[in-house]
Amino acid sequence: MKNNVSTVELKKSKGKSDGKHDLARLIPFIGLIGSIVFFSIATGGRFLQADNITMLLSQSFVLIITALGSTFIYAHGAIDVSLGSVSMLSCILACMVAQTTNNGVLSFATCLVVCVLAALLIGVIACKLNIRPFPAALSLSFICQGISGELLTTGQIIMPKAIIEAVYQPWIMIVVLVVSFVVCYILFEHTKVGHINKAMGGNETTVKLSGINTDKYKLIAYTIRGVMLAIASFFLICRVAVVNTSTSSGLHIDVMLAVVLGGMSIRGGPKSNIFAPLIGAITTYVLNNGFILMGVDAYYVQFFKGIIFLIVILLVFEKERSGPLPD
Amino acid sequence: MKKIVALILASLLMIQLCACGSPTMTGSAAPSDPAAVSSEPSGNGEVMNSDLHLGCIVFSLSDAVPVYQAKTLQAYCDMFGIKLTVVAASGAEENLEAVENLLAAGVDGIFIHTSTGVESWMPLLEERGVPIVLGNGLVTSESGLAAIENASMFLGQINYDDYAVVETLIMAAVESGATNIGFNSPSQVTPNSLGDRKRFFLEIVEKYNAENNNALTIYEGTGNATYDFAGFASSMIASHGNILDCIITVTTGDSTYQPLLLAEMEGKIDLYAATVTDMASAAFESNTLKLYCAGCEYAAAEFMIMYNYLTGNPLKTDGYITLTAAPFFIDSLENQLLLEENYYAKDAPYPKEFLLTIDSLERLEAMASAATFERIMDGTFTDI
Repeated sequence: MKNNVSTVELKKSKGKSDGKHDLARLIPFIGLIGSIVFFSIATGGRFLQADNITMLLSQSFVLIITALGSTFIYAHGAIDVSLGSVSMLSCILACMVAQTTNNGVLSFATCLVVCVLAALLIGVIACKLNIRPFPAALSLSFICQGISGELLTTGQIIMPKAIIEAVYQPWIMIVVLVVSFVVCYILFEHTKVGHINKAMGGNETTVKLSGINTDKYKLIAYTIRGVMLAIASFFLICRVAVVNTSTSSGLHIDVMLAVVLGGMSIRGGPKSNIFAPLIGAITTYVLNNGFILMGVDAYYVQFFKGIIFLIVILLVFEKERSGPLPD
Repeated sequence: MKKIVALILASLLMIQLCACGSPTMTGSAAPSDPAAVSSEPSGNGEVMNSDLHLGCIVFSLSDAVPVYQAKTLQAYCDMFGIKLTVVAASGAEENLEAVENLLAAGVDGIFIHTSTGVESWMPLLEERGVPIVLGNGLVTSESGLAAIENASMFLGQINYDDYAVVETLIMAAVESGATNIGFNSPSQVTPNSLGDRKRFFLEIVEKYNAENNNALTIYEGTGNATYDFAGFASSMIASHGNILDCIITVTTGDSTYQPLLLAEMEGKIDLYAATVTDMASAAFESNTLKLYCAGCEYAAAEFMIMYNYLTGNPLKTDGYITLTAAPFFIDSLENQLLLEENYYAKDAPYPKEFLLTIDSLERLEAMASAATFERIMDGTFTDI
């Protein structure tokens, strides 16, 4: 009963947003549209060519899927630095299974088991042992790197071509992307899983005092993160064909950047929204691609990206909450 | 206030972006026929190629070696009126993305300085008919070799003779009487030049010890990152500083030669380093560094292989080009400054007229071997 009341109240409070906040939420989206228009003009239309759009989709796929899943844990204020290492380990094991069995389903299942177990491990440590998820994720990251180094005795491992050809199809990617987004959207914006994780990011103590089992919803968030990382990792191997110790190395940073660039606070909270990782991830790749199409050197690209990032932070983020209660 | 700052930044960004836009970017697609590329001699005998657009992928913009390589290639492209777009990417995913983006930008050829992910990006280049030259990194994996085996767009992979580099460092240390040697071991296991150097180091030491009654004792360590010399040296000195005769580092790590650390080594522990570019003044000032140095032939060789191909005069190679650059040691600040003056401090070490004479593999090899320390010092390194 208590849970139901709290959820209803959370939903009500979510509905009460003023025009200023709505505008702030739109800024990343406006920025993305603005970037697309700018690069389209600056590259003489080359940016909008079908080949380029398809390429952008395949480039951003892994980051979008990973960021969508990670938003559930970012919403309650957790930061997961183990994403890259867990993804690498799952890719290695999935490749090994694929080479042994030549079976794509088993290979994906391997990714799924590794990513979900790793996510749940961090979740259990964070919830049951009451340890902050950051050090737990960091430790897991080192463990995964160590195991991966031992497994990669030949330096790298290859995904069988037959599996790549069967899986890495544009239509499959589009279906997976759309289904993933719809499922995440429903879970995040229209179910207790999303509402309670967002509420925990605002003030976990209040949520606990409302009688909600916060551990349960955190573990669900970690599970979703694990499933999404598994999907992303599997498609990553199929895209790149080869796994080595640099695979997914900066994934956790990319996800963090995508979430922030999409206009969501790194501390989560009630204003978190599922569009943030989508917009942020696409913006990241639009910028990379657009600058190169313009012929801008990497030295300046870093500079420009830094400025854009700063502009988003200045325009979107307000002063962090300092009081004991959520905004 | 925040919004005003944001608006100012946004305005500045727009102005700078407009300034960065290239007037040639809306134009040409990659030429399908290399011979069709314009190479009309101008009135003064120069070859102008203003329609050419090349891409360069380096693994980092915070390390001296790739930055130097990119800048040298930029200097050569400027000399020949060729547009160059530099992209930073590391790892198989980013390399693939960089290749895809450069292809979308319509480049005519790509220089890449890492072989990671060759399995995924080489078929793409082959399909699009865009040539690539691999510098400072060899394809050594079975799957990588299969990817380049019959690829007509793979013009060549250039590397120094890594075995000779490592052997020279070890023998120099042995000749100076060193028996306890700290080894800055590259942390990565990815098959590449550094991985090879690590393997060669251990092989050479094992062979030497088998023949010399285990004369050498190696203390192996690594920094927090591949090029983290400071991290490695701090822990090495703390644990074995009292017995070490010298340290050998097969990575470059120039930017992490910290003066305080080197001062601690001064007069006690010599440093033998393999490097290709940066001259590490701090290390010389402490009289610690005995530097094995191989010159700037990478960029010149890469550029000329690509240039000759695109202008319809491809060099005949089997795809594997190992440049045997003359090794030399620089052990004083004075010599370092002279070398910089005569070779490195310029925009690019080789003048355009000289580069145009590199029209065969034999000339390419001659260029590399001609860059000896003595010839650089007296300015005759281009007399081949």
